[in-house]
Amino acid sequence: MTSSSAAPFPSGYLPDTEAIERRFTAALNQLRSRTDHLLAWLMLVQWLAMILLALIVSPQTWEGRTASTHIHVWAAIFLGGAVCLYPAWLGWKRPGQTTTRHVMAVGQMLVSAILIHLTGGRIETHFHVFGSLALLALYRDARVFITATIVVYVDHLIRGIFWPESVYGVLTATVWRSLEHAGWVLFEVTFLTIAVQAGLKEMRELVARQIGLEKFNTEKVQEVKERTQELASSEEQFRTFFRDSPIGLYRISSDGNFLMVNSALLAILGFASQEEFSLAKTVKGEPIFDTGREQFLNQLSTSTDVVRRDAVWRRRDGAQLQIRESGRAFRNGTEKVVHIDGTIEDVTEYRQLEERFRQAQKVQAIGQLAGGVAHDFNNILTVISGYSQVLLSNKSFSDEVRVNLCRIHDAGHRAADLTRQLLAFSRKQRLQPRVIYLNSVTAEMDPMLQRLVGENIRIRTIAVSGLAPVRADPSQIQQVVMNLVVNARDAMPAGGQLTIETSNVSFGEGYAQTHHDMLPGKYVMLAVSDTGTGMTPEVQARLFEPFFTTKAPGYGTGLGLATCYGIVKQSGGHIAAYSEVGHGTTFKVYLPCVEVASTPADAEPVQHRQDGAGEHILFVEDDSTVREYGRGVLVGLGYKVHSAANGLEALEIIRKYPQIDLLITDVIMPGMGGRKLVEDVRQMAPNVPVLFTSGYTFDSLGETGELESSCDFLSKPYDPDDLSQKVHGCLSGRRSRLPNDVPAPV
Amino acid sequence: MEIAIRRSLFASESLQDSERPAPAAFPLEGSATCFPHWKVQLSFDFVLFCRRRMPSNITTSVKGRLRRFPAEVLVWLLVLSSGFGSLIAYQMKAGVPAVAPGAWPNGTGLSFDSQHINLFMFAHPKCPCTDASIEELKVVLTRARGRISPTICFFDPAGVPADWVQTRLFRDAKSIPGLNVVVDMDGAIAAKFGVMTSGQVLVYDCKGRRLFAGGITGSRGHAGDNRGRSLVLALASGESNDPVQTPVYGCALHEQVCATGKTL
Repeated sequence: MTSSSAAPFPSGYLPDTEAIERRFTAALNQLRSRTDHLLAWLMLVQWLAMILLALIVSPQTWEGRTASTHIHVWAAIFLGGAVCLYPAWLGWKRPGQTTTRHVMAVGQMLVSAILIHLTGGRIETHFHVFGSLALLALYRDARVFITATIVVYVDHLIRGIFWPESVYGVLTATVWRSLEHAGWVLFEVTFLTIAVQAGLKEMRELVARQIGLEKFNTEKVQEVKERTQELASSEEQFRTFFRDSPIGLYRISSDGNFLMVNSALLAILGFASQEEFSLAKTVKGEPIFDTGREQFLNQLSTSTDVVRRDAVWRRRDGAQLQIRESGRAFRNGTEKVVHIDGTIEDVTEYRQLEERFRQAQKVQAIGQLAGGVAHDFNNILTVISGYSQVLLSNKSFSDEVRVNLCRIHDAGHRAADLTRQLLAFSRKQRLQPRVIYLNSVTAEMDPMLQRLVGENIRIRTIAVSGLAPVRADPSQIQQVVMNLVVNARDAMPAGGQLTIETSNVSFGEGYAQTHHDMLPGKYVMLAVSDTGTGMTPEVQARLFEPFFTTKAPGYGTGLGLATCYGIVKQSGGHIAAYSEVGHGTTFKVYLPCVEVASTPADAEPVQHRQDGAGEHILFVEDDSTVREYGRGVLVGLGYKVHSAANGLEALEIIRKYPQIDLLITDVIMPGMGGRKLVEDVRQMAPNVPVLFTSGYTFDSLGETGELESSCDFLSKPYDPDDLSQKVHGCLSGRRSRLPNDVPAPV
Repeated sequence: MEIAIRRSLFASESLQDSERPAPAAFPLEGSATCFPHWKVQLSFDFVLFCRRRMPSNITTSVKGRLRRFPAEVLVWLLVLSSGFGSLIAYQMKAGVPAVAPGAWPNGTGLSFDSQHINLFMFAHPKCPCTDASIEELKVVLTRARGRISPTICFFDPAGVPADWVQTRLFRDAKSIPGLNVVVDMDGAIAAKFGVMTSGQVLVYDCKGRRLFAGGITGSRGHAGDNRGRSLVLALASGESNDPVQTPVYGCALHEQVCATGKTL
């Protein structure tokens, strides 16, 4: 039924038949109960009406002049009461029951009978029968018509049998005549039944629609409930995200007022609460926001995309803050900006790191440049210093010439020192690390440092006991300390106190995360503090930059701190400066601790020139002047020298003369470098000692700068004595390493 | 009695259809019945008849319905039956018929139409049942179309106020065209015709022979087709000349007098 009806609810919401039947039955029972109540009242009214009618029409019966109450009055009271009161009682007490309906039908028909009787059989009163049937139709139960019709029929049947004249007007009549009256009742009942069935059908459809709508409504309510919960959950997620986000988040109205800010944003700006932040427009007389923010908001209002910018704001404590701000405008249906959501990132540290990285890149570039220059410069200095040394050893020159030669030789040494500092800064010098104690290093330097700083500066040394050992080149560390002390001295022209302090420190993961060039672990700190003029942040930013100096021209090369930086970094350490203008500066050097301390190596004994005994030396050098200089020195020392300009040429020679006793090779050469040459030579002569020479050696010798036992290193520039000692040392070491059955080289 | 009926019904429920005996007689208990014995028996014979021939599920349904049928309804129906029976009995209770002379008596004081049939109705002016008789008289006069000379005599006893007779019935009768309305002072005329009951009709032909004596309603105060009216109309139309007598329904014109001479 419901599928054929035009359902007012969407498909999929058709209720099941059982539910319809349940609801329909309930609704029908309710309707029938209401009808029972209605007819109960009507019964009482009809009872009173029939009493009133009896009192009007036939109040008295007469015998001559004597009157008595007419039996119709008593009939109306008692018989009418019996007819009406029981159905009325059922209608009140048992509404909706089948019995009540049928009793009501019987009662209603009998009321008609009484009324007809009381009115003397008036034809008009018979209409009450049809009216009663119409009233019974309110039950929407066609079965009550059967009962009513039976009552009418039985009434006429009995009257026709026993008192035919009271019904038919004749003394004799066939029983079938009773059907005539019942027929007219049936005539109406038929149409009433059709109407009742139509009413029931309509009622069932209404119930089905109502159930469908209720189901639809319930599901929609449930859907709304679920959506509301989802929305609440989403809202909660948003709030949680908003609250706990490490990035500053805000929402502002279209006119720029802050509607929401999260705790991260407040923390970035140093405010305790949103109220405080909303009220504050300036801090310490300076605006919190930069002047470009208004333009940024205007840009957001006109853009549909995310807009980003970098700006400088001020924290609540007045400190400048570099921030990165991103935002996006949200619009309503009319494209009007409703609000703007944005993020704030504190990029102050990032900017600092970026600046430091940029500085480091610049330092590295300068270092590479300096290293390259130093390499070539050392070749030249080797020749200058070497030949001046050779010439000085010649006793035939006059004193005047010898003085000039000495000046040339000294200039060569000063130039060599300069290139050494360049190499140190560029971290391309060769280190000779050992396990050392910084306290010992500083203690050894004390007298020299006191002389260095002068009398108006007091040196105070705080050496902590139990200082951990470090692995470093002691001479380089001395260079670092000396450079820092000289720097401190220059910062205290009027005198002051210089403090050298050592201590054990330990850095955790957190510190390492904020100092990306450091690993967590134990360090030994060497701090050099002064009470001098201090440095501005701008100066601090360029502190370790080579050739950067605040000193007057001629008073500093700008390489001191750069050299310190290079040495410390090459030693795996870290150097930092803390300074405030007018209060002084502290440089802190951190060197990683080592676990086991070894006995400090004895100082190398001073050796003098050693002559050769005709040993065969293969001298490989791409620079022809250096090659000739070296060859000349070695030949002069008594060695048999085979010189080669590159690695390939050297290999050819060694194939021809496999009895080579020593290979002296430059590290960096075009084509085949020294390291590769040695590898190939090892294939043919595994035990031949090697002496590397280089303007700088680190690139070719590896990161550690350490050599195998059969190798040694001679840095350029070198003089004949240096060369003599190294060659002699290498050859001596070879002889000690050779087994007895190996024939001695020729 | 109602208990007995239910018990007998339940007694037969335990039997199978094939074992159930035909209801030769209904085993009523108790002899005091206000309802005819044979009617009750007929009713339940019908039920058992149906139970034997209907499928078991239908009989079960009928059983269930009967079981649910409240006894009080049955009592109610019985009360109503007796009440309606009494009412119908009263309705059909005829009055004392007239002992009218077979020929027109002299000295009645009434005019006699020798050209037409003469119809005389005697009425108690306050009798509610006579209203129906006057209604029927109207029908007769209408249908007889001048073939009847009608007269109505309203009883006006002695010792009553002067306007005692001036009732709605009297005024109604006066409004009927052609009807001769006569006030029967102290019932003298009625006495001459031996009339005892209101609504009594006497019909004499033009020769003074009584053709009809009785009422023209089928029952007390009930209008509609009835045998008396039909006979009068038949006499008026000349279809019948045989003297006929029918029951008369109405109030008594005179108080009944007992042997002591007092009115009852």
